[in-house]
Amino acid sequence: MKTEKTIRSADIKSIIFNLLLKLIVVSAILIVPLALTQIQAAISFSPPQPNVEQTVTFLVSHPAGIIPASVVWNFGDGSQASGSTTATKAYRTIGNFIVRVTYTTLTQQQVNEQTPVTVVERRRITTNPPLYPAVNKPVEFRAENFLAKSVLWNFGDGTRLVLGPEIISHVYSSPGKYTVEAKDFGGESVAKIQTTVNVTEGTGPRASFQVFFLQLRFDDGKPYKVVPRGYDRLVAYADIKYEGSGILNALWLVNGIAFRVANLSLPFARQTIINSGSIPALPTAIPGMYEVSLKIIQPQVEFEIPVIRYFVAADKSLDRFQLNQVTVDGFKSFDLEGKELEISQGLIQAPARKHILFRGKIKNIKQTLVPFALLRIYLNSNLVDQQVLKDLKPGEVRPFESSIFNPGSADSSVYIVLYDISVKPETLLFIEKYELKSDGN
Amino acid sequence: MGKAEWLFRFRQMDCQKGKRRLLFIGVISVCLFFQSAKMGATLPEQPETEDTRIIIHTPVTTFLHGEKLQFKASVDSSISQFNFFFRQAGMEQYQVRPMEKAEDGSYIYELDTSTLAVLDFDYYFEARNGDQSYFFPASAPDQTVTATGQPSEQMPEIPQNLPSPEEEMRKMPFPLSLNGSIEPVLYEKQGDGSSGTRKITAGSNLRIFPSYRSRTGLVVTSDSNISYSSTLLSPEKKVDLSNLMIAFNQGHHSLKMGDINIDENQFTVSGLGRRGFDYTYDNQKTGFHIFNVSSQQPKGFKGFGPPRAAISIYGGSLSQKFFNDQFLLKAIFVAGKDDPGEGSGVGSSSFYTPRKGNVFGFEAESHLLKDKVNLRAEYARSNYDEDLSDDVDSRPDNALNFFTSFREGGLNIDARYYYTGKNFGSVGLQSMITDRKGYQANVGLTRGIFNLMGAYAIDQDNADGDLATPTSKDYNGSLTLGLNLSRKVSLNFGYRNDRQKTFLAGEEMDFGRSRQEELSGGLNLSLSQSAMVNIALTTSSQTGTTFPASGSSSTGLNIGGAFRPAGWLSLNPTFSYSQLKDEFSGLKITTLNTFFSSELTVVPEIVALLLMGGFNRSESGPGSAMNMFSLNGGLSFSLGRWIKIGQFSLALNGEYSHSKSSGSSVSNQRVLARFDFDF
Repeated sequence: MKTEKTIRSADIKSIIFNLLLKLIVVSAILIVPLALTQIQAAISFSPPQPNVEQTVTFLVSHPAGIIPASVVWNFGDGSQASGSTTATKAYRTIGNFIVRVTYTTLTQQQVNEQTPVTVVERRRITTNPPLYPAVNKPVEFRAENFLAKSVLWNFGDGTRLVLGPEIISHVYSSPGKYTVEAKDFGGESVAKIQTTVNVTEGTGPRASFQVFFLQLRFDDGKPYKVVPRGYDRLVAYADIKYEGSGILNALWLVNGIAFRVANLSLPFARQTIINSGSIPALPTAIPGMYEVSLKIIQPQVEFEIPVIRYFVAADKSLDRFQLNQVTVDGFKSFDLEGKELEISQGLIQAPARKHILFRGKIKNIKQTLVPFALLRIYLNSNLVDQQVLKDLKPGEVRPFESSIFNPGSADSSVYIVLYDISVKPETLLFIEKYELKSDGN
Repeated sequence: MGKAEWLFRFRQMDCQKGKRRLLFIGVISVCLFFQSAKMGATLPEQPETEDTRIIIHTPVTTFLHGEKLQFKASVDSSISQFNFFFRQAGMEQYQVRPMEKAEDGSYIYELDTSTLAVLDFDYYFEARNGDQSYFFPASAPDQTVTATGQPSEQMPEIPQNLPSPEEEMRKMPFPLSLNGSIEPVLYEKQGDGSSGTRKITAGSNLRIFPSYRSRTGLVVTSDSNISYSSTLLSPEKKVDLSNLMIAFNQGHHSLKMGDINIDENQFTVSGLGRRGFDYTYDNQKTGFHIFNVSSQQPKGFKGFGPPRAAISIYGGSLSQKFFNDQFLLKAIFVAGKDDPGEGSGVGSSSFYTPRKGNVFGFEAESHLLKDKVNLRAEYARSNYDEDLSDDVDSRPDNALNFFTSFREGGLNIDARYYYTGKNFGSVGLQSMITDRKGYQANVGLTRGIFNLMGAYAIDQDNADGDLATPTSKDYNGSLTLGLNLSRKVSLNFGYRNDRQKTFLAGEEMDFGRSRQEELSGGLNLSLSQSAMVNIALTTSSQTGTTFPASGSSSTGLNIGGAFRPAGWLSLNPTFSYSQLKDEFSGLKITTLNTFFSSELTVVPEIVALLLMGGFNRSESGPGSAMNMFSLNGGLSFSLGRWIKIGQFSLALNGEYSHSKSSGSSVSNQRVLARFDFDF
């Protein structure tokens, strides 16, 4: 039983092996030539995705050879050609076409082949400037992907047709909506390649609503600023010169994240300034570099919107000291009768137990406005006067007046201290010490 | 003088205060009569007083903060000196000011109440004749008059616990600081499968700011900043001289080199914060100014040294004040070249081309009747070439401006006429509106909590009236109402209407018409310095008949808050909504946006949780919604307690962003370490 089973098993294996072998041989005989035929007997064409009016070259081949006179081409658009294994064809419209070819091989085999062809229209006209062509300014037209170097231009404004190159400029003399047409092959083309241009006055109230100029900056006019962590008054500004009239719709961006929207109507081609807002100001909680920009949704902007940056330092008290950003000029002291008291080398000669008047001029030599400054006068450590100076403009000279009562004791000092209290924490702008020398001391 | 002599002589009363003040005065008089407690002031030793003369004065007990209060008093016999003493609440010492004698024999002192740090102050007068003094109130300084102010606008919060001057002088900083931030990426996963372009980002600043002040008055200040960033904004370089300034000041002379602001007037040079140098002499009567700066803010180190010829502007001004500073004459000259392509932070139309030109300007200004009436006239003539690339050379043209204003109490009236020729221009102005003329008038009225302002303007182009050229006229009216309900709450409402019409040879055209309307409202809540809310709503509509004809409307809402409810938490959120609708196509662009940044102190001065993020949804039609969400933040550990030479912190940060549009979504995640230093 065991031997019989072994024999049967060997027979079965032998049968299977033989069947497989036969299958392979049959396949080699039948499929491989068929496959070869499929590979070698085919229609090829170039370019692979032809343009309208572009010449397409077709080629048919067969491994057994083709009798040229037997070849008949049908291009799928109703046109035909015959008598050659190669054919050229320029389609006049876009579309998907089935190209068929029939021929007889040298072995007298009748063959029908076909292939799909997709014809597209890539030709177009672009303009520069792309968005806002203007009257009396050259508008550059570019015939892109045209097939010939010579183009017949019709600018749509009634001026004569121009046979010119692919890139050409034209000046419109009046505003309007113009249809520009370019004909390929020096005007021989039947395809209509067109675009429309809205030509307005380039600048002024009748121009298309557009941003002509934009500058991003911080309050000091610069595109970069370093601020301490937690600084709560950082505001970005956009100086905008616009043309025409319209509604500006924009988004302030911080590190690419939308921060706040800006919506306002802008009439009669003027200038305006928008800002990123003060409540809250730009974020300064996390140290590091930040980028601020503006995404203008309307109107479309044909130039790249600039990006400005600010750096948030780790220290919250970075601006604690901005000493000597203001100066005190012409500092003088008087008694109440108006007699000027002598000040020399920081020493004030003053009568004891009398009032002393101080007069001086605070000059802001900072580049920026100080919205609120606090002037403090101390006698030793005692605060004797404080005054708020509002809107101390860059370069402004603001007179001040104060008084102390001179106790007449030795070693008295007068301090003049000025803070910028518009910022948190306040910034020391100026400090000066004068020794008070009283009569008899 | 006995207390019975507190009877006031009302014949000197200031008519402007009105009859209501009579009642006040009576009440105050009675109060003062019965008041006997001392004010607790630290007062100088006063000379012996003989009460034989009467000071006549109408007490001022209320005022509007910011107004100029005139204190007027007279005495019934001759004296040598009249002094005004006042003391702000919280101060120990009185301030003293000599009063000026007026033509009618009375004495006057004008106090600018905007300089007051608080709203209440006490005052009294002292008339001296030799060693004898007479007071008002008679028992001053034991008894004084108290004036209480009403806030008219936001007053600054006066910092408490400021260091003593001795402490401030001890804390003079070393004039050099270095700060920076280094962020290595520890983990990154991007939705598109890419791994990012850089594994470490860094930014740093080196600031050098030495200054010197001599006893002779020479002040030398400098402040320069060199910045470094590993991520570039084209076409910048990694290292940039972002700030540069050296200034010498002595007396009336000032020489500055570096980044300076040049500001002369609207026709010559204005708001030009640029790199260069300028010298100023200003003795408050005569002013002389020369400058040479770059026309654009140069990129990187390009602005180090003299401005390059292609972007160099030079000029100067000479001014003189006359008649007790009531009249100013000024002459200005500006010339040079500009190329907007050289600037940083600037974007412009292709029509904004390199330009050159020069301009002479003249200005006359007068401040009459104690600044109640101001007049200003400006004239400028330029020779300007707005486009160096074309064949057209420089052309001359003129500009002029007349402005007058009247201010009395809460009433402000301004009026203006201007003309700017078509070919006028100045390289000292980044952009300028030319070929215009027009009239403008503004009227503002402030009464109590109300602030009402109306404005009307008529502008037109084709300023020279060329008959072959269309002329567009713009009629613009606006009304703004502000309500300062309290120091903490203010409201504002605005309405603006603008109509543009275009004419050719006197006939109105269909082309070049437009109409805009804008309605706005806002609410400001300043609940405290640590809790502020701002709400602003604007709706606009616009129609126009230029090419292409347009019609659109928009609504914008911004809500912002700044909260510091406690020292350990700060939260700054924004919420924005805007909708823009094209009335022709019906297309709507809707944007919804929120943003926040916050700091939560976990362990005071050591550990803080810092967060920043936002959500944005924009939609411009069915199926076009785009949602973006981002969150950035982490724990920050401050090492300042252990490293005493500066501020150092380590942070572990996470960044997550998710965007979804048209059915596809992308998420990016990063984990970063961050090292911040500042010393």
